[in-house]
Amino acid sequence: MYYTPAFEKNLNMLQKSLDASLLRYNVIANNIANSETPNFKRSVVNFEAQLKRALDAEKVKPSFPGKLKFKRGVSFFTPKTYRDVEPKVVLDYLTTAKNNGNNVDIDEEMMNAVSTQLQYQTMLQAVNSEFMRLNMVLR
Amino acid sequence: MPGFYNTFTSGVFRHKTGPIQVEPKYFERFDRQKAGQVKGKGFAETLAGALGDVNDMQMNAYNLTQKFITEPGSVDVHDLTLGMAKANLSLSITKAIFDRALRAYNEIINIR
Amino acid sequence: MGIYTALNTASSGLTAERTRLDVIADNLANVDTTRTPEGGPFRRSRVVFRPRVSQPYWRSPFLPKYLENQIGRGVRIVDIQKDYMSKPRLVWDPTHPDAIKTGPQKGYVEYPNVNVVSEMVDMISASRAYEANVTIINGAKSMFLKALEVGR
Repeated sequence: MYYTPAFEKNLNMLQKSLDASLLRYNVIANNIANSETPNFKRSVVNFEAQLKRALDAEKVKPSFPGKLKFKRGVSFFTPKTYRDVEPKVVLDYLTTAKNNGNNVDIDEEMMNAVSTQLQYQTMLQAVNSEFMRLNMVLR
Repeated sequence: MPGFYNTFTSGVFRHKTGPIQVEPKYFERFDRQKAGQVKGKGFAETLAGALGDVNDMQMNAYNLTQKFITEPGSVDVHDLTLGMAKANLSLSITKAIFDRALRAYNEIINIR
Repeated sequence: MGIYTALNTASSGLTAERTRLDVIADNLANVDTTRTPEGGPFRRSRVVFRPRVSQPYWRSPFLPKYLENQIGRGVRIVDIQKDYMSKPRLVWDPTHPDAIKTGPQKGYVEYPNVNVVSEMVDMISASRAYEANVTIINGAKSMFLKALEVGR
């Protein structure tokens, strides 16, 4: 079943989402550890919106993919598939800062940590059930 | 049953030389069906439909997963886990049915 | 991003917050110390935090790959400074052995410049940050334990 596109795409997307969730958890841990340092600005991770755009773009046929013809040609206008989407750490300097220049809201960060942890565990369970289904058929 | 003898005699008068051909609509109340036609769906169709349902459940689980990844707030976790459990269970039942059918076939073949 | 990044980050936060709590406790214990071995009243200490990061944080989201913002590895304490800038509290008490003997402030005793209320507020925020870091450690541990069960 590895070669069926649905299974492979599902596994790839789950793996990417797990990577993004772990990265987000580490970034939140950094934000919380630095919640008292003056002039520190929190970071966020952008991934889901990018992935959704890439998945929606797959449904639309690209107008034309441009490729130059010589050997070292750089291709432009190649459509971006969901495999190219990577999570990105972005500095958030726009929220209002406390008196010491620090804009980390510790309650919001704790809530984000909990929800990221739950998402990570749900994705793990989805991966587990995919492999269990395979095992079940093969046994 | 007077109606029966009436139609029978009328059929006889209509076709003098050939065999008696009775029009089927007069026999509808006896629920006679054409030979070779089974009431409801056949075994092959039921099997194909059931396999399609299994596949639909898996595709549903996969779509829910994709939706959960791209929009984390739109799908409830219990929807997702229920969908996955349904897909797993339906596949497991299908496999069990196939195993039993195969075993039954082997038993029948080896009866002698 | 290694396996224990979140754990190391949170533990650096724990160390930093505990040190800050120690400093606050020291300040509060010495709130009425009018004479120290160096002379003069006790001066309050404060900690200086710095983020532990190897390159500066960039603001623009459009960055080449090698300049992208890294995660950061927590906080460290660079210094514990004594605060000589704010003036000590003056209390009129000529019978005190540490009263100032000469000058325009004759008869006043210099008390430390520790503001108890602001120290207590700092203590509350330090303990809240400590608890938040502990939550992070527990969450990371349960995530890894769950990840170990995949495929088992």
